[in-house]
Amino acid sequence: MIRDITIGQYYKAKSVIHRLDPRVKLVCTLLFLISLFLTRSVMTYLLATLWLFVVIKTSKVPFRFVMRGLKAIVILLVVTAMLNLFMLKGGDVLVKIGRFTITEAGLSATVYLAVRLIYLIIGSSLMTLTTTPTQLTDGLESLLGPLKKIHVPVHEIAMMMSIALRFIPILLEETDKIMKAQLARGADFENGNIFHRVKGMIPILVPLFVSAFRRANDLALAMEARCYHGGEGRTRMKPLHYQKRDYIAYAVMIVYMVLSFCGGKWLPLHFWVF
Amino acid sequence: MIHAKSLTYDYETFDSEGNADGVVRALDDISVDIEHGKFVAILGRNGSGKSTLAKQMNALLLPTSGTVWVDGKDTKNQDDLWDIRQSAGMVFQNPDNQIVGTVVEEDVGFGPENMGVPTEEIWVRVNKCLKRMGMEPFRYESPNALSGGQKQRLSIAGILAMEPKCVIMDEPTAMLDPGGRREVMKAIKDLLAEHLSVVLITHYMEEAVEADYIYVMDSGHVVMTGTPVEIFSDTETIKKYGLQPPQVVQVVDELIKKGVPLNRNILTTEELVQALCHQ
Repeated sequence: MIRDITIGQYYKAKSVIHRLDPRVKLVCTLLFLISLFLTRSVMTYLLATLWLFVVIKTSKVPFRFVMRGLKAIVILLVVTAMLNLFMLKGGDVLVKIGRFTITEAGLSATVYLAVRLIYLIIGSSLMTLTTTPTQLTDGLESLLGPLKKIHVPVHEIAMMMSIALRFIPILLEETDKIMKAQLARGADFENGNIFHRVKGMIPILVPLFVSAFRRANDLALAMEARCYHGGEGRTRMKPLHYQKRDYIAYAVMIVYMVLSFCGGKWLPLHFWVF
Repeated sequence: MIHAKSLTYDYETFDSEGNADGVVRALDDISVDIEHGKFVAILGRNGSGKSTLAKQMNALLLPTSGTVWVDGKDTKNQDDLWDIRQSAGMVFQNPDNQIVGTVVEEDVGFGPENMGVPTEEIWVRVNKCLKRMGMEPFRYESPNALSGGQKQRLSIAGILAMEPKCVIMDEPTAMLDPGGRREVMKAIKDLLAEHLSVVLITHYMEEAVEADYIYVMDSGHVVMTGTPVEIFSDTETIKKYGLQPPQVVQVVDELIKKGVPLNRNILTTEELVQALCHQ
């Protein structure tokens, strides 16, 4: 059961978005997030909504999968929204309940914040839903390539990430085994207060670490035996090449950014909040 | 293919504070000679130095004294390091800890990528090696979804993609079930059919029966050398070195003691059946 866990949340489908170069997706996601934070008009948010809708439709990822990512931030969303709603003062008072007041500024700030956070999560989970972890690592390695000039070990970091991806399921399985072994020896992971339970994790973590180091040692030997000697002089089995569709995607993204930045200014329906 | 001459290897032991407190001689004046295209088995109990010897054969460890030549190249020569590791590929015991790729086909491509093989050539090699090891149906799977025997076949495919002349296997079947063990033995036969040399390190005597030549090791020394018939007919000596003779050999031994006239060169069940039926 535990070995079925997939890392990340890749959704297998055949769509243009899936086929895009991971670098395009990384850059476009980043630009989209920036666009969310740089502008604050209803029009730009409408545009962002339209954008997300189109991307979700073309990616063929079911809507509920996209929404799944939001579960993780529900609490954060509610807390920050509440704080904004009641703490921010400005403009007319809309509602007054005892000592709590909701003002116009508070309400609009809350709505914008909520929309921003939700779009941020949707935007980034769209990337992880349509890109395999391996592709993401490759994309990052290639995008961060220029940092090699200032001696950032980009290749090594990417290699570590992909090895981590390979070993997470193995270590999970091992944790499961160790837990069962300790349970069989009478360990108790479920009762007692939080400190008790954290203390109970030690007999799991120690053997897990020992075995992880042993595995690391074995793997290092195996990699050396297969001529691994860092990124220098290394070729790629699946090199990243931009296709026509990738350039089109970049072009579409630029149009979106331009519209997003001046959206509010030339569209007649705009109104600025601050 | 691989020659070792008076090879000695010491490693230091450390006390609990990390100070060197002694030297252990893991290999002592060893000379082995592995010819091209031959199947050589190295036997020995735990701690006899057989894995250390294997690591000497592709320069993962370097001799303290003496010399190892792989395909005519001295392993001490750092310039030839990658050539040596390419021509003498190594398969390890734990199938999980030697697979690097997150997808089967990517793992096969890992070796050629490191060697700087051009992309098109990598794909040719990957396709060929997946087919040779019968791993084609699993090429898009995650290695975690494979059985132990399949993982070892994947490891062998990953080594083959580097186009070695010799494959060294360090107890490749120790962590496998009997089914997986058979898969690996079949893979070894496939390698031999393609004129590759195979060095098999094992403590399963049954696997060594088909070898062309056997070295038996004990506490850092080569204590016996010879063909399987020569080694296994001397049951008393191999027992002395902590090894169990193959079951068939034990049966033959007992039968001879009981007065059945049998030849001592019988090593497999088929041969024994043949011999008994022609009595």
